[in-house]
Amino acid sequence: MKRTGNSMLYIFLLGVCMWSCGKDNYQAPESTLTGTVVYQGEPVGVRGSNQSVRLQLWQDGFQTREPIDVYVAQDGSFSAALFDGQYKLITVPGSGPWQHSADTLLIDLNGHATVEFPVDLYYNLTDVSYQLSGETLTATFQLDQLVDDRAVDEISLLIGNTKFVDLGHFLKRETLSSAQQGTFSISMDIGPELENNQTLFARVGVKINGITESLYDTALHQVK
Amino acid sequence: MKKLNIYILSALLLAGSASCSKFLDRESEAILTDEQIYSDEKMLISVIANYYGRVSWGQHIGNTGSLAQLDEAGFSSGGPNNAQNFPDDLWRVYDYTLIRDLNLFVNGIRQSTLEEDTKNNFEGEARFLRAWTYFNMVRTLGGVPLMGDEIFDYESGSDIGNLQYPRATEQDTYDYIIAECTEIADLLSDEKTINSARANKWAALGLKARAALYAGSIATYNYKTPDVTTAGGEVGIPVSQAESYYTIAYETSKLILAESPYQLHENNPDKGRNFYEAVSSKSSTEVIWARDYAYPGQTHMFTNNVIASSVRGDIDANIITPVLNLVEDFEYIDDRDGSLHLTEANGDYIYYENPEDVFANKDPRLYGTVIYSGADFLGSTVIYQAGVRYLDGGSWKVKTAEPGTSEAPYGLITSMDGPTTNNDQYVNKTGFNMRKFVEEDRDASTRGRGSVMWFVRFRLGEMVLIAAESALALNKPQTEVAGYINQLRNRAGIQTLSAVSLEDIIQERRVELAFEDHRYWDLKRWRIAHTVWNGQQNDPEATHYALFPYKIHAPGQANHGKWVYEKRKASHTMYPRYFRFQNYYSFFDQDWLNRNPKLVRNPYQ
Repeated sequence: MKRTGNSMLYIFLLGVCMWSCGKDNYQAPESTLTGTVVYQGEPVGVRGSNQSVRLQLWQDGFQTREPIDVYVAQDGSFSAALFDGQYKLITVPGSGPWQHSADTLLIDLNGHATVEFPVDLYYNLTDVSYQLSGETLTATFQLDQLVDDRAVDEISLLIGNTKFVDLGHFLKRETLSSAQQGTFSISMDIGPELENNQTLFARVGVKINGITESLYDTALHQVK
Repeated sequence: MKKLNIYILSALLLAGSASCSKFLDRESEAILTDEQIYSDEKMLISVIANYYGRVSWGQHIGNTGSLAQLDEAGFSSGGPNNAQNFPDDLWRVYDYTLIRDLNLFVNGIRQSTLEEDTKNNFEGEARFLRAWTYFNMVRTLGGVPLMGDEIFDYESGSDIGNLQYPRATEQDTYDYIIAECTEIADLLSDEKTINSARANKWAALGLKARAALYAGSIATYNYKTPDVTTAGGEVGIPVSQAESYYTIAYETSKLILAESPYQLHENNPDKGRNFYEAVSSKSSTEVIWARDYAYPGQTHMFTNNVIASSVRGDIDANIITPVLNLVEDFEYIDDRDGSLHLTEANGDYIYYENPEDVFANKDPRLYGTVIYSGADFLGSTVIYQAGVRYLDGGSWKVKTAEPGTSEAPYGLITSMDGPTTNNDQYVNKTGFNMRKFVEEDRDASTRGRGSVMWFVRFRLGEMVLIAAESALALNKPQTEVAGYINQLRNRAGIQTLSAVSLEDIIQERRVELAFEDHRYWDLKRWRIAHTVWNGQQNDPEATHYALFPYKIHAPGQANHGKWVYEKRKASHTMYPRYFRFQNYYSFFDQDWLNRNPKLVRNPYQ
């Protein structure tokens, strides 16, 4: 089975080599759009793995309308390779720890464009700082409630051994529930993890009720 | 002379071929007219058999992998499964080709010259399959376009705007299914059908009860997911409708319990065997409607795919295997907490004399659902052994090997049946095998033959649970609600309950209906799927677990030859189950949206 698979692959690669100089019907998109999701000018941190959080680009003037998904990275940045033209950038309802609004951001793309995409948050997470004393990691942060009708399910301090730290990928976590707003700190004993891992990164995530995605801090903190 | 002969011969040939048979005017033997079909019962059976073969969706044994998507079983053969999310198009159904075919049949049968009863039964069957198709659509997509009995023909140049139907609301779609089932029930025969393969009155009422229960629970619980909604009501049902739906579910299920010819299967004094037979034997007295299979021609590969290694008839085995999560959810006969007792309070292993002792006093339904270590199958005992624990200089060490390997002085190291953590094909990775829907016939596990095991779609056990859940929602007396649940618990052979909550019903459905295409839809309609399958690492419910039995090798010590069990994360399910809010309703395909601009997108899409 494996051998057949391999020889199929070789034949395929050979085929690619032989015909690669042929012309495609379509030109590849060469213009780039880069940007950051921001709240009051500050980037918003999200889960960056697993294509969790996305925005959508739409273009008017075509018979059928199909969105282009743009995935947001851990630090709130995003990028897309596109053709020149006018695009509308919108939030996807339920994707990302922000409120969906019908407002669109109009983007004229000609070569390269960098945009800031403002969103309305439910909660704002600021002033996150980490302290490691001995084997105890403490995160201190400020949480502000911006909308009345959303509660916080829980706040987590997460550590992981890769740069992708979120509620889907972590080694250990400590949670704090029944917090709404104010300054909080979470502590966690990470002795065994410090010992057993080459590197360690820490992050704070706020799970808001009824929203799939949590809000994270943008700056990943390297503990080790 | 010779030349003349040739002339005569050719003339004769010409005359022969131009004889009076009108070669070009013959009637086709391959294409049948409507009249020919709708006047012949045998023709009608073969037409409707085609439709019966096109309605398997969701989890079913024709698609082995579908049973490993949830928290019942995991993929076991080959390398690890690295699925993280439930796909946005999971199990969605949008089969308007089938709807049109069924509508053609419904319209055709109405013109038929057959006897009234026969006509009615065929019309009822086709409309039942249509209602079942809509039901499969609405539970994945929410409200969908309802075509009624309409059949459209497209001619070039006609206005396609008339062919494009907008989506009905979710409520209207459920109402349509319920209304259809009410009418169909009067058209269909009320007698049992052979192998429950064809729909009868009770199947129609079963679908009605299930659809009403789904609609009632969506109306009740969709407050938990306030963002899963569309402006036009294509998704979500107002809470005010809950009571009327529950009433329909309650009355319909009670009618089925009281008047149908089916009974809970109780023919075998061995409770575990009895539960296996109730679902996985065609002698069962409780199955209302099933996808039946027959040899030759209609077989499937489920038994071949999932059978345990030591009893297999071919090379294939263990494609999917049950996970410990399901096993632990089966209660004990007298203890509602079904967690296996693996370690003492101080963390030391508990030593068991025999492999099956750790499962002693478990709900006998566990035997009928899952093969566990020490249980029998096909006349032999299946024993799982991951390795040997032995004392080496005062500390415990573990030795494992390829399945089936023995080594002195330990004897057998790893059982033929695993479990292991390697990436070999057809090797068990969780310490259990499927029993439900696995045929007890070695030929059934061969590639050449396949299995004729049926897949149960409606059975009386579910109707009892529908009665219980709707009675609870309607605040009927606890004696009545508990009475229904206790019918099943008595049949299973475990302690009865005096008071029943929704949690008890969730629990009962989990174990009674495991692998029967209920779990996913249940968690969705209760709107708890996103909390149960929360995608968080090490979450006890979202993560798959395996059970690794080890044999003790410590000659001269009391525990020599005994067994210990290790609960560990399943090595071949890489990520915890992650149900996102967008999974409550599958996405509409972009192609469908392009073809019909009147369709509304689902939430999060």
